[in-house]
Amino acid sequence: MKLAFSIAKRFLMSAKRHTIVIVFCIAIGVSIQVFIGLLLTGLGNSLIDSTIGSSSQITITYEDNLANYNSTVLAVSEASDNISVVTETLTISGALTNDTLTENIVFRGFNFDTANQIYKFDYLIVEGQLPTSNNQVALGIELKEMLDINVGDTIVYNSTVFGEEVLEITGFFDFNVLAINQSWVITPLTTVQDIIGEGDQIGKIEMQLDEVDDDLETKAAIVAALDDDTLDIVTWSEQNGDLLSSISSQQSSSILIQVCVIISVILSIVSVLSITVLQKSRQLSILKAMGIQDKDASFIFLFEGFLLGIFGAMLGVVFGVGLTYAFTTFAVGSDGSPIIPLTLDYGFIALSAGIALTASTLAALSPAIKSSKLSVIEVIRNG
Amino acid sequence: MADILTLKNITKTYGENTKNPTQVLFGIDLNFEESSFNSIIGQSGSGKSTLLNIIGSLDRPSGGEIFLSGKDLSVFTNKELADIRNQYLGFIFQFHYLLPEFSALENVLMPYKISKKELTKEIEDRAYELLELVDLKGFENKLATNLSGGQQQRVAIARSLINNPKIVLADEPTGNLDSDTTEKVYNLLREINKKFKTTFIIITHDRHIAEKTDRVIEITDGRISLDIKK
Amino acid sequence: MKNNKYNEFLDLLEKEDKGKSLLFILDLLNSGVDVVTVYEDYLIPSLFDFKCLAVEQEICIWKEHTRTSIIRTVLEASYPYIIEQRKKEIHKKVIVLCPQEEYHEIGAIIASNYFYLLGFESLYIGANTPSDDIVSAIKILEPDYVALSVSNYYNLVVTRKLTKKIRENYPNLSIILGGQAFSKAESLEQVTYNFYLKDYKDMVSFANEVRK
Ligand SMILES: Nc1ncnc2c1ncn2[C@@H]1O[C@H](COP(=O)(O)OP(=O)(O)OP(=O)(O)O)[C@@H](O)[C@H]1O
Ligand SMILES: [Mg+2]
Repeated sequence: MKLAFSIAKRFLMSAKRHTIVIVFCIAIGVSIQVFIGLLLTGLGNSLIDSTIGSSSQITITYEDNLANYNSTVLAVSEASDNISVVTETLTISGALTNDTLTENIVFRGFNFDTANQIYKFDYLIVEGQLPTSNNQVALGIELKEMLDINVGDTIVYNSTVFGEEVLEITGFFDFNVLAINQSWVITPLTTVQDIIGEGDQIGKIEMQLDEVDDDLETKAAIVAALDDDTLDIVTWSEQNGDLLSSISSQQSSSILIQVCVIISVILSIVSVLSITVLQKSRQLSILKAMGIQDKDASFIFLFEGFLLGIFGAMLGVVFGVGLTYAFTTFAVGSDGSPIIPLTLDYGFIALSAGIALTASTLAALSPAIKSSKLSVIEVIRNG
Repeated sequence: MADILTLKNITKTYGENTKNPTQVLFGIDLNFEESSFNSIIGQSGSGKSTLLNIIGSLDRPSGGEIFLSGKDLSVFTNKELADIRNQYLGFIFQFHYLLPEFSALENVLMPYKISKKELTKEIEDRAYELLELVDLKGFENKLATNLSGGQQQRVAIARSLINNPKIVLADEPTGNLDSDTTEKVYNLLREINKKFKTTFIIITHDRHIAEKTDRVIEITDGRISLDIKK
Repeated sequence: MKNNKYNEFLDLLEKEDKGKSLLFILDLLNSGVDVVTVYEDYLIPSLFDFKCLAVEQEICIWKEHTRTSIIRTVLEASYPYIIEQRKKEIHKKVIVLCPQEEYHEIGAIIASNYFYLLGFESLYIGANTPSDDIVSAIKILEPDYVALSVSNYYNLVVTRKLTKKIRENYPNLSIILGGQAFSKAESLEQVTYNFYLKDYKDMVSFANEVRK
């Protein structure tokens, strides 16, 4: 074994350029495997994220609004570790009018401290700023033209139920969703509460999760924590059945892609190592003529495969991670966040490296077997 | 002296199972005495290397038997044959065959390393000594590929002797050497033959070597045409 | 008495004194000693009588060559006595030669002289004779016998081929072998030949056979 290892090491060392090329081949395979793997999972995640990332993932709706909500909000936020943000909202409908124009709107009161974490309003503001005090509002960007208004203008809210209220415009936001841009008017929670005039109350509790896939378990935990099964509580997956099935089909195709990548990596390793045996058949014959055991001769190639695999995998991981890093750094959207946000899944990276290492060692198996069958005399005779 | 090697009716046919098999050896009978110094001569293509490779268990004969120190070689497994090659036989090939990735010294030590014995100071000294004997002092750490043909051949000679083999099989060991070095190598082999009682079987085209051996075996078209002793 | 005389001759040879050695032998021949005795008791033994140590090997080769050269001159000078003492003619022709690569020709010269002495028509072709030349010499000279003298045992390789070739081309020509190379019976067996004549005695009986 020791002999086989030292011979393998020497074979690799003395053909440095060749060795480096092979290591690079394996490394490129591994890095593609790592990168594509991370990209595909990132893509899946980002698809979910872009759809539900900036919206409530579990929503509790109170038909008759909820007063004294603080204890409930607290209870919800403590119901499960999976809940990352909880925010309370109150929404009414109505219309905005200036001198000549009227538009129907959805008037939403937020607790911006927590709501920002879900809706990221501070990023979405394209003009002016978020409202900070009572009767200040920010409007969807489409409303700016529809009502022909600007930051600093005032506008009148009116509703058959709640009457009229004069509001000051502090900014416009762009949600990248036409329906929202045309209808949402956001304001601190108290503005809406005051218009309704029935004291502190809220209409909905909205929240986001760490693991969006665990939404149903989290919902159950909330139901249990609030001990109320009459609650109107809906999760994102209950709302978005189509999205879910498309994501799962995308995941299975990503597995297929990864399997293809792995197979091509293995095949290239096998072919490269077979050539190595061919090139070393002369040396092998000499060693055999000097009485090396077939077993040791085979081990030379297993070790070669193993060593190439180790260095190839290590370099491949470095490349793959580097590529991923470069991708997240340079391929960014207008808001500075990556087009496809990638997370380094260490388990997955280790798995890819492990597969490459196993593949190269196994790839060396067939050359190793070939080597033990190699006829000494063919080489000795033919010079 | 007892016979160390006996060949009985050895035949060899290349491509036995093909359309045009070529028989290269025809019923070779030979015995070699222990510690004898023999040469095999014959025209190119007469079957000398084929015979030597069969003796060295690198190739199997198509027919006949080989006895090494009285033991029938055909009963040994491949593993045992490898051990025999390592321990009892020393090879010097027609095309010298060093491992190009290793230095002269490492090449000389390789048969010893293959035997999986612990590397000792003694054996290293012996390797140095053998290299000095073949006039390669100072070349120990040179890579085999950086040596000239003749130097490589001398390394191969040193290598064949490292495990103190019982029999040295040499296929034109001085083929690439000038006459001075040839003489030196011949004297070295002779000395080892006397000192360690090593049996030598040397294929040679060089009449000056052959006429100094104790026995000359001439092969013509796969048959022994002449077998003379001094 | 004879022993003393031989040592005297050997002394002269040891000193590499060509002139005195030659005169010594001529004196013997003139004093009536017959050629065969001179050859058998003086010349032939002196060819092997070397005292040399292993370390002086190179000196030995040089000495051997000098001695060979002296003996060759002596042999030439003895030729008138061979003619004088020749037996009745046999009318058979022998050509004597050394095969290719064989340079030790003293034996061949002696054999050739002996054949002549014994009544044969004898011709010495030379040392180191290429095989093809030998065949063409046979064609032209049409001898009854071809006699090969081989000293170095390695030259049996070429001798075997040569005799085979002669036999193939001239099946009726008798081949005579002589020389140190054939001292082992196994070696002799492997060569094509008709007669092996080890020494003068063998040659005499051979001559008698032929005469019959
Ligand atoms: N694998 C083979 N298949 C067919 N014929 C072969 C094979 N190997 C050798 N031969 C033939 O066997 C004969 C003997 O070859 P071998 O190598 O033993 O000759 P050799 O006496 O060593 O010649 P040289 O002096 O040129 O080395 C040759 O005619 C050769 O062509
Ligand atoms: Mg050969």
